[in-house]
Amino acid sequence: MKKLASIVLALALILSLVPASFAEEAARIAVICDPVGTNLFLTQVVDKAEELQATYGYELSVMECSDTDEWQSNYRAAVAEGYDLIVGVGWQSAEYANEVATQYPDAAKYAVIDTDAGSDNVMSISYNEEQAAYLMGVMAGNAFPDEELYGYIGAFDGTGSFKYRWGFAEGVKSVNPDAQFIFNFTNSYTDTSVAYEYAIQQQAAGATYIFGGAAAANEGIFQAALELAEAGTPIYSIAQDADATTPDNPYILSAQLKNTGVTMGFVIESYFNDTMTMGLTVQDLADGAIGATHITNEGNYLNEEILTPEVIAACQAVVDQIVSGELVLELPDPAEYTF
Amino acid sequence: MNEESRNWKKTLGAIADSFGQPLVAVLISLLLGAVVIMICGENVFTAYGAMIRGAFGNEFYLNDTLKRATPIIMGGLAVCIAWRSGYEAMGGEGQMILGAFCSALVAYYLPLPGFVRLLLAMLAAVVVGAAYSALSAWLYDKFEVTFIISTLMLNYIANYFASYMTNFVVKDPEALDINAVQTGKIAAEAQLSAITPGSVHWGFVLALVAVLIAYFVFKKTTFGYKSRMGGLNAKFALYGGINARRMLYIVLLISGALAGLGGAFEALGSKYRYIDQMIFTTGYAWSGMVAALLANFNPIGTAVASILLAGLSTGGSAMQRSTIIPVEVCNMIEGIITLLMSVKLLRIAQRNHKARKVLREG
Repeated sequence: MKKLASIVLALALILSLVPASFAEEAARIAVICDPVGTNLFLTQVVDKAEELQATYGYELSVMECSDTDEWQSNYRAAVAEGYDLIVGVGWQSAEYANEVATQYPDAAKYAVIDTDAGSDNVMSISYNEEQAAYLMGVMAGNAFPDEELYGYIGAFDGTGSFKYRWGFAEGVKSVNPDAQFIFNFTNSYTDTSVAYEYAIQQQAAGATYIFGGAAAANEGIFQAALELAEAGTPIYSIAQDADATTPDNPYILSAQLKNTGVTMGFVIESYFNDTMTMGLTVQDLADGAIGATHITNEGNYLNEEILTPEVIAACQAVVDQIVSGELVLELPDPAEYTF
Repeated sequence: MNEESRNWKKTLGAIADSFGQPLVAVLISLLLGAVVIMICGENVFTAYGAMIRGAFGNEFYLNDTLKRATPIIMGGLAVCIAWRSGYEAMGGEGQMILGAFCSALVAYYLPLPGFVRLLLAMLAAVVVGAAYSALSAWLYDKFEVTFIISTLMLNYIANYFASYMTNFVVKDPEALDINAVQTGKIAAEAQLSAITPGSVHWGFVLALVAVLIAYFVFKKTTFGYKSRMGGLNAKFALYGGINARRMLYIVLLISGALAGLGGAFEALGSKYRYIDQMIFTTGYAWSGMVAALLANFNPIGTAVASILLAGLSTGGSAMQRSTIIPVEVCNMIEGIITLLMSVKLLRIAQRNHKARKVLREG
């Protein structure tokens, strides 16, 4: 009897851990992505998803994947747990979105941001980042036309980030055909101290302009810029994804914008309006999802000494050329391109 | 104090040493985790409940956990065989990476029937894993390079090599996204398929078979005894006529082969390709090492501990999905277990170092 009672009690305890069934009618949206942290690329998405909750009243779960395997697990779990809209952010989502959308096409609506799932059951939105990187190159070339060497600090070497390097280099060369480049990689999106060291070294090697392509690790470059300016040898850089210009650090000239928040809003709105377009959509300068601070978008602070009206006008002329289709940027095969 | 009570104390001490420490490590980790959960403002029982359900709660979650456990079991076995023989090799990660990478290439590129490709892919992983492990054995044999250093460094070399190859040489030709740093997808006929639709793949069964074989070999064969002697008392092993050098190579070859095969299971049964960093970020080999340490190098115990550690990860994801607890807290709990277990690791390494010093200096 005692035994029975203890079994019943144990069962009651276990069952009490199971939350009440999902009775409410509200739509449930899952966002699957890398750990969000301070990564602007992702915080823009999450902020937008949280902001629109007030309008549409959905339940939101942000599923952060800390390793490769969790991408697969979270995708399958999101379907099994009955989410209505599953949005993946980043290239890792393509494969698993395709997998679940093929196996369970009617279980949920699927969307991926910044990649192409290659499926008619998935709304895929990617970006032409090379256009914004090209603008950054044009800006650097016009602002520093007499430089021989232009710096670049990225997160990871490899074909994935090639379009940033290529866009930037081509942009500089369109103004300064003899330009040379120096590339370094932090091998991390967050390692500010490595980015700091590279910035110091690239300045010593002769670069005054350094392209900041290392996500949150760019802070290291900005810190180095402040210290080098005090030492009388200033360097200038740019930020990624969202505007970071500030009067506190005039050496951050601009930002290469990728507004994933705009895209997230677009996905959620088209879900609720039942206007989701399946297949690939590429967002570019013309859509306003990518751009450049002070050129296509307003910025917090403008360093007028460097970004003179002439420099900005030259960049805006290039924007017009790209948007009108007069200038077409076509990525070459990374293996055959030399900087 | 009389003789009897002293013996009692000794026995109790031995039991506490083998079971007590792992248990205490896990308990302390969960308690510290509970503190963090409370700081996050979530109910501890709700959070841990979500975790347990997300790891073992239904067939779907259980299969997910077993899938994740498969490479961890293999990594754990690799550690078992090396460490119980007195070689504190930590190269499981590198061997697993090369195993996964090579098997993915063989299964993708070779123009042979699916099943043959699958077998050759696993064979390739075994060969490559064993060869890579033999490299550190040779470094030790020839130059007395400490295992901890050589194997750890070789892990990085393997990871960056596979990363470079995946980026520039064998990148998925069919990938739609240029950012996708991965090899081509293995065709269905060359994959390690699921046992029944939606369940864990056959790699898990093979891993369990490996566990049973290892258990048998350790307990019932002269090889198991000889290799164990080297770990328990190297001087006695030498005195007893065991060729330590030969044992070194055999043990490390087997260890590397097991780790390589674990990588192949992950590539062929779960991801169907090699994805850049897929072994590195998941830390399978390290989870395997923790499992082996928790189980005192007993193969069956290692398998059980591997499944529990895998459950910690899959359950952690589930907890993150359904509560406000970030996934980092779960990684933290696993990190604390590792940290507390590493005290034991240090003691083993010290003992082995002493034993070898005695051997060298006669």
